Formats: sequence, C-alpha cells, structure tokens
Amino acid sequence: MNRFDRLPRASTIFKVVLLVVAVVVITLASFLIGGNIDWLLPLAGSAEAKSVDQLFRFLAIVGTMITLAIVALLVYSGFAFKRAPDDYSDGPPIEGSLQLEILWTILPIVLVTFLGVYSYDVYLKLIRSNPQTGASHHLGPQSQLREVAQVTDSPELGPKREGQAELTVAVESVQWAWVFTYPQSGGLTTAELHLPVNRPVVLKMTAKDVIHGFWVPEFRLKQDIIPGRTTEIRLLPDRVGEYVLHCTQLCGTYHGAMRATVFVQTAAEFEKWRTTQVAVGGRDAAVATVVDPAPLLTPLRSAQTAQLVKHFQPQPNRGSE
Amino acid sequence: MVDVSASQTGSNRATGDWRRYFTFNTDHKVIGIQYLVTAFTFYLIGGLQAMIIRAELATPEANVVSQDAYNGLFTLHATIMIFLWIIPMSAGLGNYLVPLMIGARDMAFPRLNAASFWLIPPAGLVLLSCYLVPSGPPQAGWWSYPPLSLQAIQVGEQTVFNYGQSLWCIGVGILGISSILAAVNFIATILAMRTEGMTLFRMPIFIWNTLVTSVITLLGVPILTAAVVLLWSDLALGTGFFDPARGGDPVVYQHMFWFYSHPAVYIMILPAMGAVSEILPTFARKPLFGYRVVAISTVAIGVIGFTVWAHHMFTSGTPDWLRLFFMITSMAIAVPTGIKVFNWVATIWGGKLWLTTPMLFAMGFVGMFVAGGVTGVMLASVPVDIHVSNTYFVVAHLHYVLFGGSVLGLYAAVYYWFPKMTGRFLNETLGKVHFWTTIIGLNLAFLPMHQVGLLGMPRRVAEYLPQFTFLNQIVSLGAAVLGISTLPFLLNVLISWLAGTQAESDPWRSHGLEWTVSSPPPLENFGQLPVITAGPYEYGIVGKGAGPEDPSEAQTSSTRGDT
Ligand code: HEM
Ligand SMILES: [Cu+2]
Ligand SMILES: [Cu+2]
Repeated sequence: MNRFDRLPRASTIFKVVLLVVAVVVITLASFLIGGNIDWLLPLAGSAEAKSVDQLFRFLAIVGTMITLAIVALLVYSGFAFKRAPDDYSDGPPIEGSLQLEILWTILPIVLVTFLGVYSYDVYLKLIRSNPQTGASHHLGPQSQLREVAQVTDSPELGPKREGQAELTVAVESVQWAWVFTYPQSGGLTTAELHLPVNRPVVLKMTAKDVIHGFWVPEFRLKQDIIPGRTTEIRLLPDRVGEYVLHCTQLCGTYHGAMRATVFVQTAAEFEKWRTTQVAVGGRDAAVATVVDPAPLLTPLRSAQTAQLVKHFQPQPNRGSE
Repeated sequence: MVDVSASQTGSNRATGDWRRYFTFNTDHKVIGIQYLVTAFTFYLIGGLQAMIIRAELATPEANVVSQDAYNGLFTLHATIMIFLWIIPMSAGLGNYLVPLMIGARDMAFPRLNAASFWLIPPAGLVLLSCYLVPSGPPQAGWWSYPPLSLQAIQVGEQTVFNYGQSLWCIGVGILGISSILAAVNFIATILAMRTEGMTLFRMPIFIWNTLVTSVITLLGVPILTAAVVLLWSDLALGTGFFDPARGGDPVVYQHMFWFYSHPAVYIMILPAMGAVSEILPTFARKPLFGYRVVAISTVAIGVIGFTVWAHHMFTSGTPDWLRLFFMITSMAIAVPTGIKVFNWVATIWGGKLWLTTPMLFAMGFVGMFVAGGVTGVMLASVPVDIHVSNTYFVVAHLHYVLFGGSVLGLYAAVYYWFPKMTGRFLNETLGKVHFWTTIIGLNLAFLPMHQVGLLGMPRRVAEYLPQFTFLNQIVSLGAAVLGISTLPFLLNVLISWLAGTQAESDPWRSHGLEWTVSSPPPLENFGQLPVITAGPYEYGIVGKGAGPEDPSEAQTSSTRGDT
C-alpha cells in the first residue's frame, strides 16, 4: 500500500470542485437577483410597498436557487451518467430510500410553512389599514374589520402623521376611462389622480359597466372593481412622482389603453393644484352622478358609458408645475 | 414481469386501412390516434393565433390587428390550447395506452369511448365558427367573466347580440360532456379491467395519473358546465344570475369557474407527469425512485387541488380571511409537487442514460416545470400576487407549467410511444433539432415575461407603454423560434409514419406491459391475457433482463436505441 492510495482520485477531486463551483455560482446568481430587484420591480411609491418588496426579494432568491439547482442536477446527469455507446446494461436497481423521502417531504413543508407565516405577516400589515371585506354583506358595516380600517396610521406604515385627516377620492371606472372625484373639494372631478404625499388616502372605487381593475405598479396594490359595489383601497403614497394607473381586468375593446396618470405631490403643490382646479370649475353638472361614490344599482350598458366618457377628456394642464 | 407466450406477439396484426380513422370505430387504439391527430390539428390553429398575438405585441401600438380582433385572438388561443389541445391530447394518450398498460382488450365502454371522441370535432367547429357570425369571436378571455361576456358587441354603429360568446358557451359545454364521458370510461376501465395480478400498486404511474385526472374531471367539469349554462342563459334568455344590472353576482361565476379551472390545471399536467414517470426509468435504466410515494403524491395533488381555487381571485371581491385560507392551501400543494420532482431527479441520478429524444423532452419537462412551480408558489403568496395578478408575470408562470410542463411532457410521450403506435421510429436527428429549438424558443419567449409583468405590464392588452418594447421584442422573437420549432416535428411525423425505421415490439427495452405486444399492437391487444407478477419498473435486476450479461436476456428480442 503506497501513500498515493490515500490521496483522492482525480475524478473525485474534479467532482468536488464542480460541486463547489456550482454551489457558489447558484448562490451568487440568486443573490444577484435578490440584490437587484429594482431591475424587476418599479421603485416603491407607497408605504405598503416596502414589506411586499422584502417578501418578493426573499421569494426570488429562494426560487432562483431551487430552479437553478434542479436544472444543474439535470444537466450534470446528462453528462455524467450518459451511457457508453455500446453499453446496454442497466443501472443499479435502487427503488427508493425512506430517509430521502422523509427528507424531501420535510424540507418543502418547512419552507412553505415559513413562507406562509411570512406572507401572512406581510398581508396583515397591508390590511391593517386596508381590510378587504370582499363586500361580504354579512360582515356588516360595524364589523371589527371596519374598525381596524380607520387605523391608517399604523407604525409599520411610516412616521405618525398628527391630526391629518384622510383624503377621500371617489374612483369611477367606465369603459374605458377613469374619473376621479374629490368630495372634500366640492366634488371636483378630474381625469387625473392627484394625491398628496404622506397623507393617508381612501379610494372609494366603483365600476359603471363591467369589472375593471385598479393597479398602480409603484403602489403594489391591486383591486378589482366590481359593478354594483363600492370597493375601498387605502394607502399612504410616500414618494413624490408621476405614475401610471392601469386597468388590470379585461374590460373590452380598449382595455389596453385604459390608463390614467397619477401624480403624487407635496402638500403645497397638491393644494395649489386643487385650488386652481376648483376655480376653473372642475365640477361638471352633467356628471353629477359621478360625485356620489355609492354604486349604481343598474350598471350602464356600453353605449351609455361611451356617452358619459365624452365628458372626461384629459385636462391639458398637468398638475401644478 | 409478464408471462408472454410467443403466440400472442406479432400475431393478428391490425388491419392497416387508414379509412377506419374516419369512422365511428370502437377500437381504443383507433380512437386514441383520432384524439391525438385531432388535438394536434387544433394545436396548429392555436399556435398560429399565438404568432399573430406576438406580431401585434412586437410594437407598443395596436397596429397589426384591431383591438377587438386581438381580444378575440387571445380568447380563442387559450380556449383552444386548453380544451382542444392539451386535454384531448392527454385523453388520446390515455385511450391508446390504458388498456395496453393494464392488460385489457379495450376500454370498458367502447361505444361511449367513440362517442366522447366524436363530440370533439363538432365542438371545435362550433367554437371556430364564431369567425363567421356578425359579432365576431368571443372577446371576454377564456374566463369569460360576466358582465363583460354578457355585453352586446359594437359592430360599426350597430350593437349586435353576442353570438360569439354564445358559440363559446355551446362549444365549451359540449367539450365538457366529452370530458365527463371519457372520465367515466377511464375510471371504470382502470378499476374493473386490470388483468390478473395488476394490483393498484403495480399499476404504472401513468395509470395512476390518468385515474386521478379522471376523478378530478368527473368532480369538476359539472360545475364548469353549470356555470357556462347559467352564463348562456344570462346572455341569451335575459336571466340575471351573474349580471349585476339584473341583480346577479359576477363573483359567484368566478367561484364556479375556478372551482373547475384550478383543478383543470392538474387535469392538464398530471397525464404529462405520468408519461414522464414512464420515460425516465426506461432511459435511465433504473427503477422509478419512490414508486409508492410518487403514486400517493399524485392522489394528494388531486385532493388538495380542489381546495385552492380562490387563489385566482386574490384581487377580486374576496374578504381577507378567504385570501389567507387559500394562500395556505395553495402553498401546501407545492409539497407533493416538490416530492415528485425530487423523485424524478433521483431516478435519473446514477443511471445509464440513453439520451434519446423522448428522454431529452422528459428531462426538459422536469427542469422547466420546476421553474413554473416556483413562480406558482410566489403567486400563492397573497401580498406578492396582489402586485402581479393579471400581469405578464402570470402569463410567464402559466406558460412554464403549460408549455414547459404539459407540452414538453406530451412531446416526450409522442416520441416514446410512436414506435408502439405505428411500428416505426421517429427520426432522432430531427427530434433533437426539435428539442433544442423548443427549449431555446421557450425560454426566450417566456423568461422576459416575468420581468415585463413585474415592471408593470398588464395581461390581455393589445397596446402597452413604450418602455416595455425591448422586452416584448425578445418575447416575440422567442415566439417565432417556437413557431419554427414545430416544423421539424411535423416533418418528422409525416416522413417517419410512412418510411421510418421499423421498430420491434420493445425497441426501448422497457419493462412496461404495452411493450410485450407487437408494434403496432394487434386488434384486441392480447391473445391470452397476461398475468402480472411484479411492478412495472424492475430495471437492473439480474434475471429480469438487466442487460446483455444477464442470462435472461437470451430469450429477449434484439435491442436498439440511439444516444
Ligand atoms: C406549484 C404549484 C402551483 C401553484 C402554487 C400555482 C399557483 C397559481 C396562482 C396563484 C395563479 C393565479 C395568479 C393570478 O391570476 O393572479 C396561477 C395561475 C395559473 N396557473 Fe398555476 N400554480 C401551480 C401550478 C400550475 C400548474 C401545474 C399549471 C398547469 C399545468 C398551472 C396553470 C396555471 C394557469 C393556466 C394559470 C392562469 C390562469 C389564468 O389566469 O388564465 N399552474 N397559478
Ligand atoms: Cu380594463
Ligand atoms: Cu390555480
């Protein structure tokens, strides 16, 4: 027995090196994605968005790792276990392994339990200010969820805002336009959504004809708007900027073009915009129905809404700048 | 694994008359081929629509087709791909293989079997005839959510009745009936017609998957059919089940629709998983790792699959408790799914791989399916889904599972069983060209969709913001590659069916029961019914055909296989 017998064989060394390289590459790639989720997600524009992004980052890292690991195992097998050209013999008759089965049953259970708890926690943060009753009428307006709804100033959602009332905006969706009404400003009606930064907002959303969807990617919030009910979304925009509101529920011919511009402005700019708009008479008598955020009992047919939309051509003056 | 008397192989060859494929034939093998060819024809139509869709999305403006035509295109594309391609294709494989794999001479109800096939071509024609009616095709997506699906259609200055949507309801209704009939037949056949010794835990995994798929179909489709009937009644008879303008509730439709359509994703993936579970052991020359665990996971997927439907409604009119409940169940279903993946990898590990085309497709299936499963878990997480629901991220997810999963699995199955069905091999070179162009095209087309969705592009739009142009052009390029990748396959099937290399009864040296009969199998399959004494994956055991050195190989016919 000479001393070379104790040294690992070249092929073993190669395998170990390959394994180390694979682990390093897969880990790096996963964290590269996790560390650069701004490639994947637009900049967060609401207090609600931050914890969603953390959760997404975690899922993206774990997901990339799992996918790359399985693909790497498959590719490695393709090279390492390929049979020799004339080899028609079989592989080893291994039928399974109880230990391995237990291992890879427990591993995913632990992982999804963790993901479940984590997601649950993030969702509780979201609904602390933004509960969805799904318009379940049996819960009733006095239900506990409604009470929580008033606590927009949860500490998770940023600094406390003393004595600042929420801003209510009625959001109307019709085929294929958005109409925003500010009841606290005498029913000012616009085709753009202007929101002051760092002030809690309540959007009371209704649909006139078919289901539409409210989505501003930067806010990370999405909610279908179902005709016949008022659906609420609460949020705290916390970054000044110009965003796009997309309709996300197929709503007919011009669904893809059903967008509106969203301006998140400083309090002073918002105030300036608001007063100029009220001065030019933003309230249009012809659309007085729009002011009322209560749902229509009878949603309109497409021809009727087409009539209505004509009143809401986007206004030329964009905000206060 | 089977006692085969020499007399029953090769004797009694089925008559080769091609005309029987156009008749109300009751032979399960004829019906199987009828299903496969019909489904593939619809696949070509659905694929052509996908090409137009991607041409439209190559630029941000709506310029190739009108917006209405675009909405019609994706509605029919999805409907055809799901109801006329993947589901009937899987049913076709099942029809061909189930009796052969369990040792039966035919399905339990041969006439019912023919009837369930013959419902499909008319249903497909009803659906496609929507291009001939004044309102044009349905435009409400394959979900057909009311009230959009109930709206009259604006044609020029006129408002016309939504004939397209009516035809959609009728077509989907007929296809549902066809599915139910086929499911009853599969369940009866598998439970009652297994040959002696074919115990439940000796059934091939493909049979387990077909069984679970059929049970899901039987429990789910009636709900879909009910939803579609009520929808049609709202549309055509003026009732108000789902129409809020008449006091109905559209969210009820959503629940009914997804109560079927979530389990339907398992109807679409389980048969492919079953095929892959047959192919991997054959070409790895190793037993399927953890056979019982894989079988039980299949059942678990079927059961849990019925408890997750509302994850498609996380942003709809659903209360918080419901969202959280369905988040937990949706995550739970990843566990049996993950277990299957690990067992497939372990089956390959340490084997002696024959890298044939079916093996490549099967391994591709495992890799691509994992990518789709992982994004599925991300979607199950409510806070993340609220951001990505109804965006291109979901489109990416569903194509990784449906194309990367189901379609690759079905292709693997075609390459694998083609010699059995026709007595001829598919060409390996064309097969490999097909595989690699498919893998490249698929990732080029569907990977960037994740990003474009996360960044803010909703789905089902004919126009999008200019900043998404570059990513969309890569996607469209990938789609073109995918379109082209179908050509070598088509060519291959046409040439090989007529003039391919002749195949023996067991060209892959598989241990499955279907390989003990001649290729193509004789009428009635088995002269004398075989008696089963062992499981289907006994590779590598000396004395059971473990290779040339094994003395038991002496009696086995000659072998063949490419690498
Ligand atoms: C790991 C298991 C899976 C999970 C947790 C999962 C989860 C989800 C979720 C939550 C959605 C809804 C996203 C949304 O609309 O907001 C979705 C959509 C979808 N999934 Fe999966 N999925 C899984 C596997 C599959 C499989 C195996 C298939 C099919 C073979 C599939 C096909 C689809 C389809 C077709 C859609 C889109 C439906 C539509 O919106 O048109 N999924 N999935
Ligand atoms: Cu829309
Ligand atoms: Cu689902």
